[in-house]
Amino acid sequence: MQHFEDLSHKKRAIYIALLNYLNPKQAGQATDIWIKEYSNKSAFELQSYITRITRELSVKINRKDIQQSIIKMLLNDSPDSNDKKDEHEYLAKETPATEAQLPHIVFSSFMMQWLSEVEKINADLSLSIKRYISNNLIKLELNFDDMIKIKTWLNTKGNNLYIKDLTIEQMEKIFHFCYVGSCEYIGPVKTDKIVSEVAKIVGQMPDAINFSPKKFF
Amino acid sequence: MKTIMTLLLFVAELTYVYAAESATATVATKESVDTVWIVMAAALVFFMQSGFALLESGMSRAKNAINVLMKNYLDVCVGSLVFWVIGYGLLFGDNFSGLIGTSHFLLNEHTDMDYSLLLFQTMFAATAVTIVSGAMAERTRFHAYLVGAVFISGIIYPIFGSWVWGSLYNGKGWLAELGFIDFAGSTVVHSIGGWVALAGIIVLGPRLGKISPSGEIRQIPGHNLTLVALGGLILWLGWFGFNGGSTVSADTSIGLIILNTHLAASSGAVGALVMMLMSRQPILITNTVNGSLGGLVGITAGCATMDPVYAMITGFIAGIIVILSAKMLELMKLDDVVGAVAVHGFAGAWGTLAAGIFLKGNMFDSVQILTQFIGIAVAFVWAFSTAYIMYKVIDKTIGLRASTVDEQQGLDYSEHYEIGYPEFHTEQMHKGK
Repeated sequence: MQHFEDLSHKKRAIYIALLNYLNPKQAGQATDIWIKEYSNKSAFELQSYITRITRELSVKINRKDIQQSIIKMLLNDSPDSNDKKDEHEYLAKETPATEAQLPHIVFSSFMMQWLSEVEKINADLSLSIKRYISNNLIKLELNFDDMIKIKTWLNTKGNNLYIKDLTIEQMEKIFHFCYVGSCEYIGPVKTDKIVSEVAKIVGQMPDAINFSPKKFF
Repeated sequence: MKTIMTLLLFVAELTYVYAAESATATVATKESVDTVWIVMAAALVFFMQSGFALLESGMSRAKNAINVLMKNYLDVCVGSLVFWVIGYGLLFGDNFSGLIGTSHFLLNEHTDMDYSLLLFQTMFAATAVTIVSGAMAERTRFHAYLVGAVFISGIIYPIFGSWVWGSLYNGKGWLAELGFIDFAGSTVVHSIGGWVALAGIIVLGPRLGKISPSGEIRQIPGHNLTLVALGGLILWLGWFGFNGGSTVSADTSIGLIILNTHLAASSGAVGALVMMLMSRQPILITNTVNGSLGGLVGITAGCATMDPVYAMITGFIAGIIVILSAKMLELMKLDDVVGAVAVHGFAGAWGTLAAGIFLKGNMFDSVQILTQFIGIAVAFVWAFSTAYIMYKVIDKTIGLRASTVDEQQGLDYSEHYEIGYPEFHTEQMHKGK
């Protein structure tokens, strides 16, 4: 699991660093090369990697600058970059998830889609539901860090929630808090409608083939 | 001369014997016809259970349809057994104190007519229990509900019934002694069921999301209004047996009773319609069906003792009362899924009062009206208070309210592991507890 987190973090850092010098398509291609051939190599291979991408993508960039940028990003991944649309599109194309990651991916996709549907009706109601979930997290008996991670995740968009210790039962409970909050703030009829629509959308995700979102119901 | 006298005596004796035999045969025939009528009426009242099942499940969401049907189904089963064991004795047994019946428990080795009456009255008991299920639908734990059903059919309904109808064998109920009129049970069956339902929904609280944090009341429409209309019509048909059979004999009054029943149901729907128009509400089929049911409940007390024009007035006002009382309950933030408290509780109370107001040959008699008031008030105090305590005890011990997780999944999954509409669920979602 730690490997997955590291890999995801590095991939993200490299992609964001490359975006300063390459267009999103080139940055994506370059990141793919890193994943396939350099992700399991030592940090000393960075120079070799940069040489290769400048050659393969036929781009003229200052290798020293890009190297510094990548190192900087690897050491400190800026959260501000979350808002960049192009970055999202690429990062959404994650490496194939392992079986253990599937519930987390499907769960977070479902929740985010659900809350964004509520937001379309009324952004304040979406906030109220998030607050309701946050207030009830204490019932899950999570450790403090994980609870903070979930709260942060609820208030940011687009990232999959992956907390190693979060069990399917706990995800079910978070899902349930969202359901109860949604019933309270937008009503049970609209809630059931949104849930069934979101289930259809998320059910079409490739990851949902191996882990149905209905398992959270 | 002596021969003629002997001949005359012989003819006279023959005539006497023939007359005696003929009278016996007439009594036997009358009893047979009565039995056929009572049994047929019992079958019609039993058919009302189908009406309740369709109406209540149609007014509930799809995810709770099986749960509602199961409650209705088992109301008949459990209610019938409990009523045979204890209820019939408490209601109709020897009632010297005027407070409670003390014989005819576990009815066995009795007359044929006793069995016919038991059959008919068992269907009444099942009806009183079923009224409650609709009001408490979609959030009540199944086992807890059944415990309540046992108590209603075994204690709450028969004890009040004995005060009004407990004069079948020996003695007389104290309300009957006062002159309280309730021919087929506007109060004894329907109001009692309605007030028990009121206590139930107060203890339970509203369904998840029915009332928003800001106090807004949300509509939660049922999943199949076709079933609601069909259920309403089946109840209407069954009511002909409910009221008509309450004569417990096949006599000529049945025509008037059933005509009154029909007119009251029709005018109840019209009354509801007028009320919806006057209050600028949409013309809903649920309200219209409830209006006609209100008319049926309303006329049940006085169907044998008023002329058709008054039956029509009784039904019309009952329809209006159903709409108004449902609105009032909503404003009080009480969540009655099918409107059972309005239809059975309030319309039943009005019908019982109307039976005193429009009593044929003694209309607008203040003493009779006061007696009716006393009966109505006593019914409310008895049924509401005992049911409230009962549901509170159930809630504190085995738990009355389903968890919010169960409510989310629907009680079909969480209580029965079955789904009412499998074609909408491509995979079994419930994993069990």
